[in-house]
Amino acid sequence: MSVLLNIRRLRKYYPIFGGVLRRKLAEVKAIDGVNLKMYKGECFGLVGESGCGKTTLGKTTIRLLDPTAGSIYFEAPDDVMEEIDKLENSNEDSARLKELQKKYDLAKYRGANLRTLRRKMQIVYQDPTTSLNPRMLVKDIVSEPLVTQGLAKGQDRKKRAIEILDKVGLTEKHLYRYPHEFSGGQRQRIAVARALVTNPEFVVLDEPTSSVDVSMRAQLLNLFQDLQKDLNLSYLFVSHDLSVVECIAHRVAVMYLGKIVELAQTEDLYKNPLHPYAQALLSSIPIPDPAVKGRRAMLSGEVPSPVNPPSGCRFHARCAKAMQICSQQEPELIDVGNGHMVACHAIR
Amino acid sequence: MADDILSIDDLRLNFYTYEGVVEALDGVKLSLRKGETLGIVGETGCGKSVTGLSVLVIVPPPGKIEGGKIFLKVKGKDIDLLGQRQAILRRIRGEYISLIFQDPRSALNPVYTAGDQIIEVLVHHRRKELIRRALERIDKEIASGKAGFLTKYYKKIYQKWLESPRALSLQILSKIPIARRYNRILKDEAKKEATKMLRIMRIPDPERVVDMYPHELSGGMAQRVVIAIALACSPEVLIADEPTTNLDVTVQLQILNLIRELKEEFSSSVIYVTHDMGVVAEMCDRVAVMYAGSVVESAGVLDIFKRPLHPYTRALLESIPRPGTPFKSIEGTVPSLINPPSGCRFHNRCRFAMDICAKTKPEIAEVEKDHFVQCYLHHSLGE
Repeated sequence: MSVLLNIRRLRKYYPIFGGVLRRKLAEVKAIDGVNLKMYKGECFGLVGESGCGKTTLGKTTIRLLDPTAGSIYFEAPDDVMEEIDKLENSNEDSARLKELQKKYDLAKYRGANLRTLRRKMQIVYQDPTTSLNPRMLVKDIVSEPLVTQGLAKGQDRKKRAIEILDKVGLTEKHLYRYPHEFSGGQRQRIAVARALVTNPEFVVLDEPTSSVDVSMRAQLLNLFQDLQKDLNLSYLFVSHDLSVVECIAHRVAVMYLGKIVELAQTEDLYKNPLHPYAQALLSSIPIPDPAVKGRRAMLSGEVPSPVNPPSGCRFHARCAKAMQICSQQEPELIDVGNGHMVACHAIR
Repeated sequence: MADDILSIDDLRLNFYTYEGVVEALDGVKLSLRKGETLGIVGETGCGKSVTGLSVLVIVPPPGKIEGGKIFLKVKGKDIDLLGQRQAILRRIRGEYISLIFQDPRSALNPVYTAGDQIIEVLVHHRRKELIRRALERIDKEIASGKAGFLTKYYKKIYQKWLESPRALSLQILSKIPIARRYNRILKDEAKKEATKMLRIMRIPDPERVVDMYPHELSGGMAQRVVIAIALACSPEVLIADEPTTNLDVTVQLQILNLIRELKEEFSSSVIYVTHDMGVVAEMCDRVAVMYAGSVVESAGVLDIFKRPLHPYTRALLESIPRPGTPFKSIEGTVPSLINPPSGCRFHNRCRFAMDICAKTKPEIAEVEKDHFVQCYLHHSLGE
């Protein structure tokens, strides 16, 4: 599989302003040094508690938010990546590196480049009742990306809208209706249609099933899987619903306080989580089987503030296996075999 | 049954909206035994939350209870909650039955501190106890000689308060600024009690949290405060209306464990409303599955998961995502309750629908011991 996205040392800080002069007082470190690779045609799951930076990572990846630092290489061929690595390591201010970054690093995209990028990367938001404009017809909602991108006009535009509605399980007769006339699941389908109308390659699904019912959830997940196969899409599936991610994602990353603590193939991660936080998180999923009871690792306390994250390993204050080194040195994300990456001092 | 602490019989409830009459509850029949946890599950709009609200008789307009009976056992006697005066209901709410709301942030009043909101319940329901404690404290102060010059007047006021709480002199005094400061001793005692409640909720540093406003609390903490309010008078029946829906799984686990421990500690019975089958398996002894305003199946938790009888229960269990198997969903959508389907309300989504299903609604019948089903498949008429 070829690499679609290569995220390097990505940071996103939100400033907190205060005082009489609106000075910058502190920063919320929403993403603090994330390294990731996403492959073509993959569904990459991103899980973690609320406030750990999952949504920020999703939005920064497609440049809906500007990263504070770091780079996101999009569709960069392997040889180009090697060259970039070499140039970066040489620590020189070379014009070649700048040129390559301008071409491949979408963290540095501006203007027309960024606009064309929007065609290739799209997002489906959490709550379709708020992400769809209540005063626009479905036809206008779905074809709006075509208008802003200047991709189709007149009859063509309508034809394309019908085509994409058909793909998400809606029909032509839904074109001239308003979002409020649909059920929650159908609204989410409209949001999906809007995201897919420009033929993107990469779609961020930001908790797409959290606002729909159990029975509709299954239908939506099936739709995502079918669309992925049909249109050869890559997904970043952000969710706090761990059981859904287990079923749909190929690889999963667990985030904690702006950092990725563990990353592995879905099966590896769910069967054999290594990081203490991942273990606690996964064991707190309620299992729908009354015969299984009492084998829970309960976490005490709450997630610390991302304004002043703890020193060293960010989890050390809540970790049962914390050692001396944990509070001093930040663990690196290292491969322990078979693409299973963990950031923990206890695992070497 | 003899050990039922709460029983709901043939409860009917309508919402009168502009679009028409929504028949939200259509003959709900439920019973809660002493000391058990009963789970109510179902999709959005099946009437599970409204059932919880009707037990407290706080259904918001345009909802109106149209019929049925809700019996609560109070001191060995069954009383019908629906026929009671508001004054009696106000005593029952909080003292015998209380509710944990779904979203803790909107359940708490943003302009009062967490402590104030617990104190409100305490002062309303446990005033006598608090007055006695205040009197004890006054006596102690007098005995130790540290009392201020007003203290002996306070003692008179509190004694009067204990004897006749509605005395005219007290009512007048409580309206006069400065003079009503005698209240402070009571409030102080209530605050101590509130702090104790927060400590029982396993909140670290309760002395600080008691003075915090809801926006300063995290979701899990706010939910603990809401639970503290609900349990302030150790009610016999606790209704938990999706208490963990908006919380993270790790916090959810903390809250679930807390509710389970407190249930034992306060020897309450719990009605747990949820749509998450995982939580049901974790928490409940018995389960009632609701669909479109009626209970379609109720049984012990093991029976529901191992031998579901109603087609809807089966479909609901199949729709739980399991890795390695394709996602299954329930065909069709939840019907509009303005014009509900005739007969069994599930018949047009049901795989096993027969002719009779569209005509008349099946009765809920005990098919096996303690396993009730509302379906013609398990009914003498359906064969």
